[in-house]
Amino acid sequence: MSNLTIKTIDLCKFYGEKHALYNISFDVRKGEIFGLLGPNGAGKTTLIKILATLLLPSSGRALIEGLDVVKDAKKVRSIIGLYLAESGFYYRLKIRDFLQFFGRLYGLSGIELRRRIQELLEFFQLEDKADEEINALSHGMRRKLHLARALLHNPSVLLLDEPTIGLDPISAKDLRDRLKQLSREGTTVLLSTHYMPEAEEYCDRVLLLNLGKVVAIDSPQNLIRRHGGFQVIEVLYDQKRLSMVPDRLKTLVASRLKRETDASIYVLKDGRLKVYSKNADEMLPGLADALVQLKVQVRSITIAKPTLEDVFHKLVAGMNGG
Amino acid sequence: MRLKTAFVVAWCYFRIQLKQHELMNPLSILSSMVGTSISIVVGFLFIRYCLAGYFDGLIESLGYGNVMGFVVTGSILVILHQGLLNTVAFSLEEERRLGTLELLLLGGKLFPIFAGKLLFGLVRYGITLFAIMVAVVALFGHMFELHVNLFTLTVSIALLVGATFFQGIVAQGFILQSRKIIPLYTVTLVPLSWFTGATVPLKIFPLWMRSLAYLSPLTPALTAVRRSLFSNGANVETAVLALSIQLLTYLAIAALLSPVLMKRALTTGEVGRRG
Repeated sequence: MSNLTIKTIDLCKFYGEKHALYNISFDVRKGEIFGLLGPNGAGKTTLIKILATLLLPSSGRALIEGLDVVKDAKKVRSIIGLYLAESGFYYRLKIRDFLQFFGRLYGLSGIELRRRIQELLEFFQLEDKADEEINALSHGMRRKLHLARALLHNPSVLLLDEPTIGLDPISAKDLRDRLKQLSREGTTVLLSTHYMPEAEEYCDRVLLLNLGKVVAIDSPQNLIRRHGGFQVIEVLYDQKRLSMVPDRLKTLVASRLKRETDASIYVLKDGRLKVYSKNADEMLPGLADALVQLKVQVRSITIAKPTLEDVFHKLVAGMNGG
Repeated sequence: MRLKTAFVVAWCYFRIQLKQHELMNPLSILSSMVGTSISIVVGFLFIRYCLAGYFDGLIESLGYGNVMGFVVTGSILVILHQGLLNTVAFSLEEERRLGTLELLLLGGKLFPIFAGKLLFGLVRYGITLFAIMVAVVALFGHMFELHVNLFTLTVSIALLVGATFFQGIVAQGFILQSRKIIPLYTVTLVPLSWFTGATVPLKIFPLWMRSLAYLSPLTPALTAVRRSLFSNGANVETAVLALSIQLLTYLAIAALLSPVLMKRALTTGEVGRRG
């Protein structure tokens, strides 16, 4: 129990009749990087806000280091660092002034505050910009600044909502490396993302969330091992020359492959079509024929092992009865 | 130590507001001056009606100069009260729109944030009102017959600021529930300030309107400030007492209601809903 930093028990959040979270139970160990994965509207931000004491749950409990997020909200706030993708800034402030204000809000002052700000500016490579207005910062730098703000008071738990969204690949990797470093130093990191490769590479364990319900919890490797007993045919096609909406393509391909009962088909927004099947090799000729008949301009077809993203799609499809 | 931290946070927040709002922008001062001037023009119209025989006895009892004083003090106090009230009442709404409200809540020091905002409001409207007063004194100063009691004047204004502060904290709690409340807030409070005796004497209104006017701390504040300016503070006690009661009442309402309203906003998720 003492090794657990975050624990939720049957956590629910309702807005009137609509449920945003339903019976969410999980725990996060100390120093772990724990990912909340799910599509938009899965309930990731709602869950993070409840853990951060910024939203009251309808029922159930959530504990952070043994403290109840409702009853001990004040104490919980002092041990967590929160990063929300939607958070704003005082744009006319200089970086240093921004950090100073939030440091003071957390009760830091004097040499301690100055030292901490300097450490964080160096950690996030913002020291050259310290006396510039936030207005002048790039998107990536603003995100780093918010992370620095979240870390000002040395929180033992870091709650991050989509920390790498909108970042260029280099900045995103840099940020993930820094989170990894914090985790090694003992900070528990709970982050939400819908970018699956990120979670697969960096998270010790993940919680797959869909429509406010838990789909699965485990390490990415275990999830792939347990639920990835299939192969993935990935078709890269020319989106611009497609004469139908992707959903229609999915329906037509599915109807042509109807004999393959175990196959699941996904058409992604980035010009990829994925077919999950236990017999990918046998299915491939039929799929190629179907694509030719539908006049889809195919760039490449590959057969691969499933990734976390594939497992997630497959599990969500099972949950939705698809 | 906690008190010191609260002071520091309030001061830092005040400085942030100065930077965010570019307070020293001459246009912003000018626009406030125009607003106040409109109120003063209404006052001049009132004087015309006085001279035409309406509100018998008022000019005789106050003198022409003090009718001007009546109008000027009314306009200035309306601006001060309404400005401070809006500043505090919309403080969290402004943070919500900016996306910083949740970050402030995590810091857990909302009272110093309100205090910082009030200080900002005092500076903002203080500059405007000072500019107006200089202009009024330069143009019409020779007409006033001032008999000032500085002590009761200071106490009256301080009590008005205090009562307005807590009134604003109560209002922000409601505004936090839903943006739909904002028009209701405006249509309730703006007309109320017309019936407080700001530009026309309270006694011309029917009794029920006068009772309603006492919901606003502006009503006793106007009486107290005018008596402090023109009658050397004579008979100011009742107005000061009424103002003190208003302050304590709004303080009690704020202390009782604010946690309930905040809890409600945290339940509905309104706290994190950006415009």
